[in-house]
Amino acid sequence: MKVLVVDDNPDIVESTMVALDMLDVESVACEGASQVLAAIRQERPDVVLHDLSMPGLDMEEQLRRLRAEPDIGATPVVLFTANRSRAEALDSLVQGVVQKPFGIDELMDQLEMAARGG
Amino acid sequence: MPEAVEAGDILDVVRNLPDVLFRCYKGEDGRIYWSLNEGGLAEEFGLTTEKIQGKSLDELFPGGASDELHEHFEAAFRGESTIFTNQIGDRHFRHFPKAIRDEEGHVVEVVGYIADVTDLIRAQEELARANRELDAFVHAASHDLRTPLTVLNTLVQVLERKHADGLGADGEDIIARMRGTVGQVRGMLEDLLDLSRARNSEMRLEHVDVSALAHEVAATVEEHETDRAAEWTIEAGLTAEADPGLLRVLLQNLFANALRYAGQDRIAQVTLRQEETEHGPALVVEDDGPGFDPAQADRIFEAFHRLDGSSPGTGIGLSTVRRIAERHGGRAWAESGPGQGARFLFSLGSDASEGGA
Repeated sequence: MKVLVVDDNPDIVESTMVALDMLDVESVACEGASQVLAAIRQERPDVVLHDLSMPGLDMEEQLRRLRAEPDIGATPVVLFTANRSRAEALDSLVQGVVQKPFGIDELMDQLEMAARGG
Repeated sequence: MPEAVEAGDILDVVRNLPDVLFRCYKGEDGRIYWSLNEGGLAEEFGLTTEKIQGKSLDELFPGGASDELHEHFEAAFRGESTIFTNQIGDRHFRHFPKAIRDEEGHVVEVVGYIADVTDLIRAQEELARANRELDAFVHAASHDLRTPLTVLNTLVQVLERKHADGLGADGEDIIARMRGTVGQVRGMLEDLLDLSRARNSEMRLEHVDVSALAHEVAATVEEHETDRAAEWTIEAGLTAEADPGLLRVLLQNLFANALRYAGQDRIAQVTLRQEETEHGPALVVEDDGPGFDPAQADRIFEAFHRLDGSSPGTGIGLSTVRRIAERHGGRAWAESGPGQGARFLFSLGSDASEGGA
């Protein structure tokens, strides 16, 4: 499994990648919301783990743009957020939610489920 | 020995008060005139009875900036006596008009007084501003602290799984303590966010099955908040008009609190039921713990106040409970005596809490 980790905080990105590495999951990083579509096209991840609160990001718009893409539109997305209630509004557009701070098993469960369903 | 008071003496008294007493009537032309306007403010603005006699409201306060004043006085003459505040320059004046009627019920004049409430308004504005800043700070702090906590939480888990073998028993113990501490900080941040939401979130009132919600919350609290077992007695048929999200947070806090302090050497007994109280119908959460000193009954609702430093919990939950009850137009209070268990009561507005059974 290959995961694209999208978060504007480099410490979150790095520590999450350390955890994924331990679980033998390949991961690549993306720290800017505007570069996500290009990164998905280039890296072709099995799942995108996407932070919900990033500077200049309208997550709903981001997801609609992704879903409209012919080649990569079906890529599963797991929301990465401190605020579960904000994530609920986007339920129909994503394949999972991981609340920060997260348990490693919960992270793995959500990513695997999303990758299988996607 | 003072003599009987004459009308003229009263006028002397009024002229020496800081505020204004007024009396006005409608002339035959339909305009509003004053028969009395006396007091410190009338003096200051050159609007004493003598100076404004024969001049109508329209002449003294032409339309435009004074439209609001006109509306309020017209309303007062329609018998709709409403207290209102207007602003002149940077000062605020509160008007207390009252319609006087003749025997047939027609409004014949409007009397009242005006007070300078500039200090009050400024203090209210300052308080509102300080509260907004505090809310923004609490929200930002609890949100921003999650990022380093998430990093720490992830790395501790990696350490525990990947490197525990090389750490020995001491190392494992240290990791367990670190995880416990991370959990504590996480709990505090969640409580802070709950408090921030309880103060600011938009209210959505619904008809809530409180008994069903309470059973749900009890199960979650028992599972997550502590490793203690409890016997829950929840009255059937409780309902309320409430914001379901906020009511859930309120019950979570009271149940978690009850469980923490309930009898330590046995299965905790926690009950939720409705009672008639001096403040109307209220819901009561009762535990069989050691109780608390009744003298502290109000202080425990202050944020970050705990009865003793070693007690569990963050000291935020009860403040959130009170705030949620108040936002529903109700109140929250507590009763206890040492060794009697604690009783936490809350109401959700005068008619919001009712037994459905």
